[in-house]
Amino acid sequence: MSVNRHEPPRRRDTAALIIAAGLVVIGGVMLWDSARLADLGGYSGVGPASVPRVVGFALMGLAAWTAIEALRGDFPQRAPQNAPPVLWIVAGLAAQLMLLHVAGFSIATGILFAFTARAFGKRNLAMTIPIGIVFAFVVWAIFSQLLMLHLPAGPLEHLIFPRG
Amino acid sequence: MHRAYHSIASALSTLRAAIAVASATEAHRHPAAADLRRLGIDATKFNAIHL
Amino acid sequence: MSAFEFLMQGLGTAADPMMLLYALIGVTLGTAVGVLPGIGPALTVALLLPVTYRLDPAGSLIMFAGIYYGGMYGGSTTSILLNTPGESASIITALEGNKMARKGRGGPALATAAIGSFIAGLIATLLLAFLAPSIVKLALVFGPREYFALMVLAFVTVSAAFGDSALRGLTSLFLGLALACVGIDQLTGQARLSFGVPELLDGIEVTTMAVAMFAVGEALFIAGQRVQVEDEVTAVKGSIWMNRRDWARSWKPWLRGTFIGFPIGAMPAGGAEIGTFLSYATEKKLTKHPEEFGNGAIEGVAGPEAANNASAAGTLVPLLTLGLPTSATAAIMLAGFQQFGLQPGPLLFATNPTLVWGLIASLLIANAMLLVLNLPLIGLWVKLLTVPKPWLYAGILLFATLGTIGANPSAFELGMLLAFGVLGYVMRLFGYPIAPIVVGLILGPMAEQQLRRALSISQGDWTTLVQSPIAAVLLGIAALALIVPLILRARGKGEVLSQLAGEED
Repeated sequence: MSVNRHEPPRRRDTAALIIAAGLVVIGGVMLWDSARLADLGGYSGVGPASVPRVVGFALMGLAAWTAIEALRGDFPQRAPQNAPPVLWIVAGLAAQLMLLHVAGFSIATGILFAFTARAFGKRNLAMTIPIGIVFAFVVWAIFSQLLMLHLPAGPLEHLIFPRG
Repeated sequence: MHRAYHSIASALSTLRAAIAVASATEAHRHPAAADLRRLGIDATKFNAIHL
Repeated sequence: MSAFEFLMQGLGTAADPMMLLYALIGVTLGTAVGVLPGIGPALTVALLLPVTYRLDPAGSLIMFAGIYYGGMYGGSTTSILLNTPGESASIITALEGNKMARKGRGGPALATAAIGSFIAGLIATLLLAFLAPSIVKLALVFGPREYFALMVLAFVTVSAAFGDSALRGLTSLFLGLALACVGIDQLTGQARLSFGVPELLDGIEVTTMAVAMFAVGEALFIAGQRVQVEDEVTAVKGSIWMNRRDWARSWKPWLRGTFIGFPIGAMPAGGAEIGTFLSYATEKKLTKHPEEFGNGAIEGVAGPEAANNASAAGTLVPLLTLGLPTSATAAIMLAGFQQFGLQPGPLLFATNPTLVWGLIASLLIANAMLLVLNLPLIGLWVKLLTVPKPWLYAGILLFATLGTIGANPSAFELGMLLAFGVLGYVMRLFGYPIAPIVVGLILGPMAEQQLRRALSISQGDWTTLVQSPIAAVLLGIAALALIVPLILRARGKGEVLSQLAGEED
């Protein structure tokens, strides 16, 4: 398969190869899903399955192109990343998602607030979580009571606004 | 004729450089020195800006 | 009626106290997000979409446009005083503006930026008003195939033609188009790519996706960077007013910047920042003080700051007249129109002239508000710069999730926000542009609908797409815009580099 004309090969970009594989999967899912649709093309011959099919094939083609660029090492240099701050923010969003309907908007969002602040260097969670909850509660009060936005209420919100 | 072609080519390559620099900065990357030179921007001074 | 009469009527609409209030909120918010690094107009409008759901359509759209204009003003402040552009369209301003500030000439730098923005905004908005009717007249003959061709052109130019990699631009675009397929098919009612999940039947929310890409992805990317720069505000010393010499050196760059920025904004190539770089290159070539460039030349602030405001107005030309977004912010504004059941384009000028002309006229008013807001009140905005990064980003994420929860308080929607946020982070990390995926998601369903309409009119004959001269020309340009840059790149970067070096004389 490989032609060793360009020796030594430039660094092979494994991460970019994973992206190519991901594109193959997405393209495959699109083709699989469009195969299952009844194609009611009617006069035009172009039905609901046509565009997903084209996009699916295009993604497959782009995956092949990505793989070639990855093998040739054509992807741009990536700045080194600090993993922990990124994970703190992801954890904050995940925590908010899971707590939202149990603990209500203020507590769930306060935790997101504190985790994000920690990712950017405010490390003292014992201080930032209460600040976050108070801030989120003020925001909740303004948006749900004044602007009539539907934001989930929890024990804290029910305590202060008993009628919700 | 040749002159006209040259000035159009030069205008186009300036436009191309502007777009390249714009798309690089959008992604917080340092743009290519050649593109910056084309726009008359000093690369060392440009890189001092906190993107 | 002439454009002038329509504009006068529009001013009548825009002078309504409620509309003035919306415009004022818009420009104030816009200036604030322009000043704050990390949030831009695209994100702000996306965050406000769910909040404005129940408000007045005209007022909300006036507010969105005010945010766009205001962002262009505010971005210059951080560039000049902090060397940290608040907005990508103000990057080049930092080059000369911050040097001026360090020499104690921060006042004149801020003044030439604000006055230049005002003049550019004024001229460009008038150009918008007087050009729009003729484009609308032209666009009224457009059928489905012409619209389809126009959208194909937008897809190509946004994703492949001008970015630094056609591969990554196209990948981002097709991911957007793939996401656009999710949900119930508009014409046949069949569920596509929803895998039996009821939440997916309505399709992917544009606001969730935009907020995730611009707010969550950006926050993750900034948090992950190893090198964290410490910002230091340069105090404004000396007079804030421009002297006679500053005026003499500023007025031509303002005008040139306006006429560079306006067409660039209308071109489907990306954002307002392209015009700023071109304006800088022009000013450097034409200046009588080349030695000052790089050390605080006022022309290098005046030109680009005029160009970015003119670009913002230029972007509105294709958006309002054709319904075609040419930048990420315009794409989100299109989503804003759609939220109120409005489809920008030639028909909107006919069916709802009060709204369209009220919007255009209110831009003139917003522009005047911005001048007042930015020159005398500059000290107030500088205070905003002292918000520490942890609180700033924590606040951004709080409001980002607030918008999503407000639109749909479900764990599923938040899960999508998180997933797209991570996708946005990975895309930034690997150098994938963000605008094409957003444009693909918003324009994808419209392009598909037009294509299928065109083909059912022709009973499945694909050649119909090139049988109309307008559609054929548009598709031809799209093909050229896709192929020519690929050939140019393939011809070897070394050759291009040496050629460029040779032209530098």
